[in-house]
Amino acid sequence: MMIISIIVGCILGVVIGFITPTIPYTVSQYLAIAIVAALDSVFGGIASNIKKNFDMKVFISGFFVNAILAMLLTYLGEKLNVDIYLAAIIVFVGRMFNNLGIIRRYYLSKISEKSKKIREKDKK
Amino acid sequence: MEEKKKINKATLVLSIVSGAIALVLIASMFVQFRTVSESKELNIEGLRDDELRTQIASYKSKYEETMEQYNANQNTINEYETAINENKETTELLDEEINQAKSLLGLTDVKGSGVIVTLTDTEDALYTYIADDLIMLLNELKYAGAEAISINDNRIINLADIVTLNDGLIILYGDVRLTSPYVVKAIGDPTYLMSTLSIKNSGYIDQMKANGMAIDVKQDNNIEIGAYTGDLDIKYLKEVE
Repeated sequence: MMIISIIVGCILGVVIGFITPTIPYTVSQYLAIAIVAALDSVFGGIASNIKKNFDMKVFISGFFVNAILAMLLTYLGEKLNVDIYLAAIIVFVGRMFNNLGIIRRYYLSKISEKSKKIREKDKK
Repeated sequence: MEEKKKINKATLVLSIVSGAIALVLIASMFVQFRTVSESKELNIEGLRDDELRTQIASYKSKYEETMEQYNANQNTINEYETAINENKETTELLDEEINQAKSLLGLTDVKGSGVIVTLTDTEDALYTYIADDLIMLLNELKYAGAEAISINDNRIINLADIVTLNDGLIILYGDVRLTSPYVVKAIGDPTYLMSTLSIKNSGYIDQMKANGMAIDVKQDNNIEIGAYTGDLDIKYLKEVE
């Protein structure tokens, strides 16, 4: 059920993304940083789900607050003429890799467990 | 039963939330993709330094190429223009020459200042006017610089012939009969024409008057002489190359 709703959401997202008009270039960098933040939240959610400490409230609040905070930081950086969004990107992408690593290890161990079981079964 | 419902509710909320989040994320990503791909070509302000540099370089080379082409085109245009002007000049010169030649030949209507000589046969005269008198008059006028001459409104061209037939008829161009009064119009310098004709004793006027002929000469500043209306056939004449 969850997978279906995600797929539907993706398809609808593609459609909406193509329907809505493009935004001005100066605004697009805020959207970019927001997208990175959201991706980070999504991967974080998946990772915490694997670690069995997934919390819906934390996930949703992280998704939106991180994105908004990243945009605000970018705005501040523009006002200060410092590329603060670089720091945000580094943090988000670093965490993304962390979470991806957790996901990867989890599935790897799952696969190896399965193959172990199969081998044990074969031995019996 | 209760527990199952609870689980179902939780998964329902979770799936809705995750779907919504996927929707928002994917939609914003695609908007961003399109924005970036569109603004890549359009927005110079958003480009990085090296991109700007390459773009400037390409524009510069394009500009130089276009400029070269423009210059080449300009040169050809200039060449054409000078050629046209030269043609115009030569055409104008040729036209002028043709017109001059025509008016000298007597093929155009002309006007200007000159003299009008009227010769009238009278009973007091020793004889009636003959062709030789007219020929002599023409000769005198030409000598005095007349540029166009007509007798009784017949243009005298260089091929003109005036003869007296046996019975006293004066014939011009072989078939035009001239009768008294003979009105000879000549365009040229009026004073020069006048003074040439009225030289004492040997001048034309005095010579005619000595024979008792009636002759009247007057200056006119606005003489009109028509064009020669006959044919100008060339039968034997050939240009030497």
